[in-house]
Amino acid sequence: MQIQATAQRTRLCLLMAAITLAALPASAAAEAYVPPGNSAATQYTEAVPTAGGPKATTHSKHGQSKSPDRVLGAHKTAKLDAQGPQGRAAAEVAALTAPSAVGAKVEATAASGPGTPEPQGGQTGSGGVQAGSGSNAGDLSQSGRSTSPGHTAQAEPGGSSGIGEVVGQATGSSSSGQLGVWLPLLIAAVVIWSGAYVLRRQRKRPTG
Amino acid sequence: MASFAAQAAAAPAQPLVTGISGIGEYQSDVFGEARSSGAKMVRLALNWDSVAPAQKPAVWQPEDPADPHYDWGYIDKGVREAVNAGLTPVLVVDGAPQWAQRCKSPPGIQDSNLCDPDPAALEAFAKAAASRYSGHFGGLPRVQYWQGLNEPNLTLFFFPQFNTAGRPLSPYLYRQLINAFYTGIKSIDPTDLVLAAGLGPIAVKGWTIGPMRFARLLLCMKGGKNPQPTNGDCEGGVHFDIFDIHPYTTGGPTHEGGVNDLELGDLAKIGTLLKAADKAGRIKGSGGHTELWNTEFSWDSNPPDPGGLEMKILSRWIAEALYRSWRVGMSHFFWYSIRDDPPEPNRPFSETLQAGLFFRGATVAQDQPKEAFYAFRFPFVAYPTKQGLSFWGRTPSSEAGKVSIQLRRGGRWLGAGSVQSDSDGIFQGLFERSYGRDKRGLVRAVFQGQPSVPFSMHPVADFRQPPFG
Repeated sequence: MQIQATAQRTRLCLLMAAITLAALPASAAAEAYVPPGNSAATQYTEAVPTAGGPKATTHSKHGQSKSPDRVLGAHKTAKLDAQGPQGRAAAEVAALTAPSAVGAKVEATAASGPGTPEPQGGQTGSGGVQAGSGSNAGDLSQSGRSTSPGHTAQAEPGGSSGIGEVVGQATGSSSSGQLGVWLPLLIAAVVIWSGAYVLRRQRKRPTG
Repeated sequence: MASFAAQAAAAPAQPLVTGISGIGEYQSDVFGEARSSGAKMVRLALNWDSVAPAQKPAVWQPEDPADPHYDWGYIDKGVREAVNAGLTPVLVVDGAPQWAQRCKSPPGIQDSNLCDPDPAALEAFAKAAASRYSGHFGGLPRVQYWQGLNEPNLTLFFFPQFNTAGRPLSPYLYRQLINAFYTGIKSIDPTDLVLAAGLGPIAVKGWTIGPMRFARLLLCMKGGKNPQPTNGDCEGGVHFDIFDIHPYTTGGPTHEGGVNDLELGDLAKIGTLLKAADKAGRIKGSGGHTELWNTEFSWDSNPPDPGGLEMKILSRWIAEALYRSWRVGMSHFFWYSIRDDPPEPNRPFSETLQAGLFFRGATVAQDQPKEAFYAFRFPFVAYPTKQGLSFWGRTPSSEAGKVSIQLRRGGRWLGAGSVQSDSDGIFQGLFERSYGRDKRGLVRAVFQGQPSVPFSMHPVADFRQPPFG
């Protein structure tokens, strides 16, 4: 009976480890990058500002997500929403492991305040509106903020392609402190611990 | 007698050429609709992965447009139809066969998978395409305008965007690609013109690089108000003739995005950057003065999209968008698209694109122009100011001629004066009167008997409006 109980516990530990491993997508490097809830429209539309910070636009005013046909020309009509249930499921799983900080900061802003759409720039006393040109139209550039460009050397792809960078991006291995590659190690540790636990229990049991 | 002082543009100014993107079906009547909108150009997608073989042949000539492994059929038709309709085509080379990509995009994140394409392969294809549409091949028309890829700052169209440290990567990859593309195109005809980028409008964490940031990194520039070159020679510079953006705006014509965004209210930023990059010698184009184009822009309309922009406001905002774009130096403005997407039984309008200048009919012949069509065709704006009523417009089809300005009074249109447009159909002026200061009234322009959409003196404040409804 004790041997059967041990065997049952062994099977249970191995089963738990197997379930954990199975929860990972077959190609973690490829799918771990996909965060949930994205549609094509969110890459063109500002996030909805909320009290808790910007919220990605996943629904239109009428409660439906928008996925417009962004393919140019008549030859292709593929849409992201056509991924279907499998695509959605993969995204759900990937969301559990996807890194959350991989690049540009959120630029979402609330709609600007009311303003009369008047032409800017000076207007001559003789009656003509100044001809529009880049210099006359007024520079609307932001004040006091500049962006440091990435270092070319660091960002240049190694060798003949950026494949190393691609894998790194997909796994989220970065200085951002996300789970990234630590997750497979953690899972491996669980498996090893489970096996060690079983062996220890077996040694403690009296034989015979 | 009305006091009127009006003149054509006092200083040389760029024209405002309009075009259509998202033509949809390659049918002659659809191209005819595009031409009727006053557009002179049409942007067509030359999908590399559709034209090139799916498997890389063991033996072939990728630079030869006559290589039997290529299938140019659909794009040949598009180019012919465009030219037959009197439109100048712009071909955007996009996508890539998998064998020309140096990695594989994660599934489900892209419209058409494109992962780090090989610059050498792109150069070879560019040569083949430029040869085919050189005007000297098989009776096919010439194509002079070429865009290298589309929206490379969006994960939707280009992967990867970031490196292992979370830093932008795509600008550097794209620099290699646009330089190779430029070499391929110009090797066939140095008078062909290359458009770079076609950048999407906003930064979205993890998904897009803000267009201003992308442009600075691409051009090896830094700084905001006073951009300066970074150290080094930027790999010998960035080769293109025209810089292209897609400033889809989540609001109205004055709406500004974040520091790295390019929405309608942000356009002056990119103009400043391009001037500085030209001055620093970063852009190795053919002009020394890099033109700024917008080859994709739209708002969905209501009707038919309940989440789209109400038609009266849409018409106003189209005119204002054209005016403001011209004013910051933009010379070309393309609207996406010509016809609404077809309604889909299982999808609400909010999930399809309803930004056409035409309501979609059962057939093209049954299409109906929206009011927005007329605003795009004959843009006109008028604003009451302290000095008087200022106005700007461009005639339909950019024809030169005399334009009458009319004010609405007592339920009738009364002539206030006339102005001569310049050779590109641009006209502007100032009435030394107080019309409209009470935020009431309408003003319109009339050219060769055609009236513009009346422009209301009642201002419309900016509000949040997703471009796709």
